[in-house]
Amino acid sequence: MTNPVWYHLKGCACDSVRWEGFFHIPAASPWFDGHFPNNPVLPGVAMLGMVQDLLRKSTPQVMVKGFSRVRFRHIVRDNANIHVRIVPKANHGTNRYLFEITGNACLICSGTVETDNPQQGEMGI
Amino acid sequence: MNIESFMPHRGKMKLIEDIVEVDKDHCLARATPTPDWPLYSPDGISAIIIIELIAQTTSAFVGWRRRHEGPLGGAGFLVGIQKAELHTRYLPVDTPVFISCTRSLDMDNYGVFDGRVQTDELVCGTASIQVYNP
Repeated sequence: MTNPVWYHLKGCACDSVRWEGFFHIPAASPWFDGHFPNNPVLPGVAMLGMVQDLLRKSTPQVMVKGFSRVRFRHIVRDNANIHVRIVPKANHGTNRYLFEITGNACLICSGTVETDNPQQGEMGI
Repeated sequence: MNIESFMPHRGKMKLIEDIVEVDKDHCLARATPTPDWPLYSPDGISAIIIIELIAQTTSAFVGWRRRHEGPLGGAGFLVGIQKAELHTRYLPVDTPVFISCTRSLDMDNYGVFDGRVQTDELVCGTASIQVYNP
């Protein structure tokens, strides 16, 4: 049995001041299996999971401790391409980060993510 | 109680399996994580799933209230998370979790709901979510 493909990570880059990832969510992704019948909408938690996965590209054991001030501004349909960008939040220590998710030249989602320790950077695929 | 009559989620994305108790002020639901869930890894289900569990419990809660109290605002799409706190990395597979949800703000087409997810032994996380009914 093969594992389901929830999304494709088309590319990412991380350094000490930003994390960026390009994702494709295919129509066959289980995220759309029943969410919702005949009305596919990418769950907000799927986007937050991509934020976590992108942070873990540079620090695999990082723990996400929370989110705040998250706004979901646009619906994401199936077969979407989205861009996730994360930067450290100024004046809030080293474990809070601002993230923005964009697609089709629109801001889809933004917010703050808090982790258990500072992130390390410098990688890319 | 047939939970599908109160919420639109189906298939793999219907994570809530039962409403344990519900009244006009709160709802308590139950779910049991499995390897088929989103955000699964061999360590368990990433605790971020707590946000979806609270969103689905809110959906069922408002669906129940609509059935019993008539048309209501405050349900529909998840449009925001005021704050979410995760107290664990993973939810264990095959261990039931209980999701409580209370309403903290109801307006015409906007609502804020406070949720908590716990096992018998551990509060896994909390979140305050915002929903909008266009």
